[in-house]
Amino acid sequence: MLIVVVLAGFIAALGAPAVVRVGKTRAGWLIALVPAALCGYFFWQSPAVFSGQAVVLDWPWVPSLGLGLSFRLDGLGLILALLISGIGALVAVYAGEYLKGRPDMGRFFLYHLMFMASMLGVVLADNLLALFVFWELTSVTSYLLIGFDHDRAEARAGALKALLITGGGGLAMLAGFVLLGQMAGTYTLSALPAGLSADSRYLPALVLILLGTFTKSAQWPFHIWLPDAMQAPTPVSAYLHSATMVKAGVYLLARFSPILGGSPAWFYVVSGVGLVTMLAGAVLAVKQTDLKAILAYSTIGWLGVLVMLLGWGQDEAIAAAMLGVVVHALYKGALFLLAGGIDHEAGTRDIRQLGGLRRAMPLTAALTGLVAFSMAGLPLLAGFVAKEMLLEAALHSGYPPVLEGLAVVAIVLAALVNMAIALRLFHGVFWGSPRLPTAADRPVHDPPLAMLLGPGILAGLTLLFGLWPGALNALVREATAVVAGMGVPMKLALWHGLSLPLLLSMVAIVAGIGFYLVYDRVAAWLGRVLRFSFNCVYDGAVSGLLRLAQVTTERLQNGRLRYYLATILSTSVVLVGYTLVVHARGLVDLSRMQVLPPTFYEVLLGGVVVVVAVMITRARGRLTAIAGMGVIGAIVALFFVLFSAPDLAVTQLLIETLMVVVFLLAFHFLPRFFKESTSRTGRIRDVLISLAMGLVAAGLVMLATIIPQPSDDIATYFIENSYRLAHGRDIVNVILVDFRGVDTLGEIAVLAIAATGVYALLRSKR
Amino acid sequence: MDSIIVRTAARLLLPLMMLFSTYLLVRGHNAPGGGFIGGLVAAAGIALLVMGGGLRSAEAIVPAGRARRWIAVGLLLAGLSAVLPLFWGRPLMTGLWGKIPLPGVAAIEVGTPILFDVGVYIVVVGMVLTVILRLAHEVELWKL
Repeated sequence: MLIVVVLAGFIAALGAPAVVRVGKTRAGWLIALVPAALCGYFFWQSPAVFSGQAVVLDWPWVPSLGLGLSFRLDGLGLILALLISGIGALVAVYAGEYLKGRPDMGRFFLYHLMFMASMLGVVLADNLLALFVFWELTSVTSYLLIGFDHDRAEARAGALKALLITGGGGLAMLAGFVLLGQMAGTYTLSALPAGLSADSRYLPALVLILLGTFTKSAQWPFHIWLPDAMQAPTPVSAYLHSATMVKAGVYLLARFSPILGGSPAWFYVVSGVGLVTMLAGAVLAVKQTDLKAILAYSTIGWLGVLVMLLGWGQDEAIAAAMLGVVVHALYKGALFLLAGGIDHEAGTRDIRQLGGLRRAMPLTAALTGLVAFSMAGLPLLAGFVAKEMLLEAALHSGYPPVLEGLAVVAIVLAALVNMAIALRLFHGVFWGSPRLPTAADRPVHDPPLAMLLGPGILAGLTLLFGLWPGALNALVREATAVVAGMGVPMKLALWHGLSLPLLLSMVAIVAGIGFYLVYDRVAAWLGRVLRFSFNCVYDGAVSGLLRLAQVTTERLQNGRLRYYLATILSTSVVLVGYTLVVHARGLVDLSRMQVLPPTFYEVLLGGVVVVVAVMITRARGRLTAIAGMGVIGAIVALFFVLFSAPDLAVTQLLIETLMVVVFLLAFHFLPRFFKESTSRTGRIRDVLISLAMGLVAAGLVMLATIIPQPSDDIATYFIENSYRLAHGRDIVNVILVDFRGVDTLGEIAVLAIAATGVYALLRSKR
Repeated sequence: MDSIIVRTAARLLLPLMMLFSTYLLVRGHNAPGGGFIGGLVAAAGIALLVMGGGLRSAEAIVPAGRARRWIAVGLLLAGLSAVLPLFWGRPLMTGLWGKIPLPGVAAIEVGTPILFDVGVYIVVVGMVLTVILRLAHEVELWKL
C-alpha cells in the first residue's frame, strides 16, 4: 500500500496534462483529488501510528548495493506527510484559478504532482540511498517550478541558483550517507545505531550531511537561493518554499538527531547556525518591500528557529520544533497564498504601493489578520503555543549561562520583528489611505473562491489549534518520541500559567508594536546600511567556474586531433605508468615467468608490424598512412587467430574494414596532410610520447601474464557454466550476452550516444 | 569512387552478406559469431554498396533517418530482455529460457539472451549505417 502512496503522485503526474485538457477551468479541483486522497490515507493510518506502530513496506531494489525501496510511516513522517498531501491539495485548487487561461497549466500540474510524490518519498523512505534519490528529485522539480515562467531571465537564474545550491548540498549529503552507511554497516534508516560519535568518520559524515540539510533548509549563509526562488508562481512559493520542501532539511535533521545528535559538534554547530539564520532572516525581512520577499526572509528566520531547536535537542526543544513545523506551514502557506491573491487582484506586491485594501478585500483582510498574528504569536492562535514552547526550550537550552541569555534575547528580538512584520502586512496593507496605482483600471475585490479556500482552511486550522492545542497532542507527541528515541510525556496547552516565557512573549509583542511605529524608517535605513550579501560569493563562484571551464576547454579542446591524441596518450602514460611503477612491484612473481620461444609465425607477423609502422611514420600521403594502419589492424587480427580467439579476430577484421571505409569517406573533409606538420622539437616530443605509450602498454601486457591471477576460478566458472546455466557453447558470446550482459548493455548505449553525436555534428555543418 | 565493377559486385554480394550476417547472429550462442559480429557484416554489406558509388541505392534500402531509429529499437529490445526477468522476480538480466518443440526435429531453445543479441545486432547495424550514410551524404554535397 505504501508503495502505491509514493508512486501515485508520479503516475498521476503523467496524466496531469490530459486532465487539464479535459477539465479546463475545473482542472485544479480534479488534480487536487490525488493529494486529497493521499491525505485521507494518512489520516486513516494515523491511529495506528499514534499507538506506536510504524507502517512499513520493504521492497528490495538493488540488494547488492544495499539499495531497497523500503518505506516507513512513523510519527515524524506522518506530520510531514499530512502537510505535504493536505497543502498539496489546497495549492492545486488554488493554482487552477491562479493560472487560469494559461496554456501551460498542464505542465504546471505535472511538476506539482511530481514534486509532491518526491517529497512524500523523502519523508517516507527508510533507505538512505532511496531517500537521497527522492531528495534530489525534489531539487529537480523545484528547479522546474521556479523556472516555470522560463521566458523570464530572472526566473531562470533563480531556478539555477536554487538547483546549484541545494543540489550541491545534496551531493555532499550523499557522500555523508555513504560514510554513515560504512560506519553503521547498513543503509536502512531505522536500523542505524546511535552513538557513532567515537568513530573517526563521524565528523566528516556529520559535516557533509549538515551541508545537505542546511542548503535545503536555506540556513545562513546558504539562504540566498530562497528569496530568488520567489520568481516561481506564488502557489509554488507557498507550497515548496515555505510549507514543505524547505522543511525537508529540518525533517532530515530531526531524523538524524537520534543517530548523529548528542555530540558537542552537533549541539553547537546546528544550534549556532540556526540562531544566526533566525536573526539574519528577521533583519533582512524588514529591509524588503516585496510582499513575497518579506515572507521569504521571515520563512528563513523560522527555519533557523527550527534548526536551532533541533540543535539543542532536549525533549521540549524537539516538541517545540515538531509543533513549529506544523504551525509555520499553516500560517506561512496561507500568507503566501493570500499575498498571491493580493498580487493577482491589485496587480502589485510592493507594500509601499498597497494600502487601505480592507474595504475592497474584506475576506482577504480577515484571513491575513488571522495568520499574520499567528506568525506574531498572539494568544488564541497556534503561533502563540509554538512561541511559548520555543521560549520555554530556550530557557533550558543547555548553553552556558551567558550564551543562553544571548539566545533568549535573540529570540525575543526575532519575535518582536515578527510582530512588527505582521502589523506591516495586516495594518499597513489593509488600513491607511488607499494607495493603489491600478485602482483606476478595474475594481479590486476578493479573489474567487478557489483562491480563498486554501488560505481559509489553513487560517481556520490556525485558529482551531490556537484555541485547542490539545488537538495536536498525539501528532506532536509521537513525532517527538521518534526524534527523542523514546516516549515523552507531554501535553500541549493554551495556558501554562504565569511564567517567564509568557512574560517574554508579552514583552516581544509590546515592543513589536512599538517597532511598527518606526518600521518604514528602519527599513529604509537597513536598506542603506546592509549592502553586503552572500550573493557576491555565489556570483563569483559561478563566474569563476565558467572561466575555468573556458580556459580548460580552450587549452584541451583546441580542435586539432594530434593534440587530443598527445593529451590522451600522455595522460595515460603518466597515470598508468605511475601505478605500474609504484604498485605493481609487489605483485610480480618471477618464478611464474616462463619465456616461450617465439614461433615462426609470431616472428613473421611481428616483423611485418614493425616494418609497416616505420613506413607509416615516413609516409608522404594520407592514403598510404591509412592503408598502413589497416595492414597493422589485419595483422593484429591474425595474432588473435594464432592465439585461438576466433571471435576477436573476426570482430577486429570487420572493424578494420569499416574503419577504412569511414576514413575514406571522411577523407574529403580533412585538411591537407603533413604539410602543416611539426617542427623538429614537436616531432621529438611526439616520438617520446609514442615510445612511452608503447613501453607502458608492453609493460601492462607483460604484467598481466606474470601476475598470479587471484581470479583464475572465474575462467573455470565460465567454462563450467556456459552451457549449464546460459545454454550456450561459445563462451565469448555467452559472456557478452549473459554473464557480463550489463556491460554489453552499457556499451551499446555508448554506441548509440556516439552515433547520435556524429549525426548531430554532421548535420550542424549546414 | 564511382566504380561499376564494385557497384555490381556489391549488388550481388549484398543478399549473400545479409544471409551470412543472419547466420552469424543465429549461430552466435554456440560458435563464433553473435549480434555484434553479425551486425558489422550486415553494415559492411551496405558500406560496400556506398563505396561503389551506390549511395542512392543504399539510401533506397536504408534511409539514414531510419538507420538512426534502428538504434533506438535495438536499445529498446536489449533493454527489454534485461528487464523482463524482473517480472518473474529474478534479478536484472537473468537469462530466461524455454523450449519450442519442432515436430520431427529436436526442440529448439529460445531465451532472453537471444533477444538481447538481436538488440545488439540492430544497434550495431543502425550505428554504423548512421555514421556511414551521413558521411557519404555530406561527401556528395561537398562534391557539388
